[in-house]
Amino acid sequence: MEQAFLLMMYSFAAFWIWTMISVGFLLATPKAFLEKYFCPPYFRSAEVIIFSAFPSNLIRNVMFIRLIASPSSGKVRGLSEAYRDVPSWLIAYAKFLYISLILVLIWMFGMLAFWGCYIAYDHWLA
Amino acid sequence: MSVAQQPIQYLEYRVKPGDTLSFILSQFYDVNFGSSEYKRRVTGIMELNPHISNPDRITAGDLLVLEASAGPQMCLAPQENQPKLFKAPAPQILSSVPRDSDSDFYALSWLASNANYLTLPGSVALGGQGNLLSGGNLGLIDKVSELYADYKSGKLTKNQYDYQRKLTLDQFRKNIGPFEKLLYGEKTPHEVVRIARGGGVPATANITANTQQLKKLAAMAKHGGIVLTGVGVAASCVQIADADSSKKKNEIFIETLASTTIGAAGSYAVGLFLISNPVGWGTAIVLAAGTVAAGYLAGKGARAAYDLTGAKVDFVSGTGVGSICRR
Repeated sequence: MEQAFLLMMYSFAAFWIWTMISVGFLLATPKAFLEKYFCPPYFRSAEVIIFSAFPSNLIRNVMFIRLIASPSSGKVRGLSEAYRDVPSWLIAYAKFLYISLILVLIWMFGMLAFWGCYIAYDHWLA
Repeated sequence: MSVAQQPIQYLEYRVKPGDTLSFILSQFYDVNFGSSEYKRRVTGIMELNPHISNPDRITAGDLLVLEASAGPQMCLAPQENQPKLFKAPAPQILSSVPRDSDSDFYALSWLASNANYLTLPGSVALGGQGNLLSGGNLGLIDKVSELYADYKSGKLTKNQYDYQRKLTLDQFRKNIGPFEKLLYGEKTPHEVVRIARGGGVPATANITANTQQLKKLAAMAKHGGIVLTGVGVAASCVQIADADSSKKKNEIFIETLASTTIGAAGSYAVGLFLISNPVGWGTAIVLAAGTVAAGYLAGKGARAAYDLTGAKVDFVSGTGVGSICRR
């Protein structure tokens, strides 16, 4: 069980390492790109307001990572062609971040689900 | 002086709502339910507190007399002139808290020990508020002044002025969403941002005053996210420094790390969802509350998981947190 616990702690560490790497994307996103797309009608005024300052701008960063890595995700907002306005290296960077985030989240929430089940079993069934 | 000769010290503890004897014993003596030490402590408490007839039925408000514990150090015979090894457990302070201040005391204690849970939602709320009152939004209020000037100079008719003022303030109201109550109380922006009809002051005095007030609030709130994040980290650090055993330090560290990580990870998951599914204020608040709740539960769960593994790994020392968060 100690290994399982360490595995969960490693997933937390992986998450924060991912966050640090994603800050590079936040800084690299062209300002002109944000000014063009992070505004009405693509985003509601309230969303623009909320996701502009720290720490919620990190959530906006995740939104744009997915948008650039997976352009079809922006279909509802009319942003499926937005990826054309960023350099190709940024698209590759976004794809790397998007896939690694999905893997880290699956790993982390998987470990949490395991421990949730184990704690419930230990408390009520054992 | 031998151990047997040391006077036994006692303390009083007032039972608070939700307390159980096993919880109190784990807090004061760090003993687990069902262990032989647990049974010995229960017997001791029953002897010291004859008014307790059933250890499974203690009620909030009961005053318990407890034997003060010095932990493992009590086994050592102290030398003359050495300070007492006994360290009073933190809850001893309760005996000096007036009964009618109990609820305030517990509320503040909860806030102090759970400050880390407030960091993430608080940061988002304050950061959001700072931006709600950004130049763009405050510009909408200033626009009312400009519309009034246009009306007075004859560029707009009374109806045009009323209509455009309404449109402008409707947009402002839409932008600030649920923050309206926080900023204006029971009034609406339409009632507050209006032309001064009294004599002796400029017609736009109310608008100017309102804009200035909101600008000050925005300046304070905009940095709130960073400040609150710092407060949350510092609060956890103080808790780790104050904890009297390595096990407790690690429990606090793991609970804080897990709740913050899951809160942040939940927010990222929401971000992934939001890009393809735009939502309104109501859904956004539900998602934010759900993320905070998940973070809180994950913190408690991770702490329980750490205890279940036997609490063998010392993360606080291993990560260097112990050397930063110390007295």
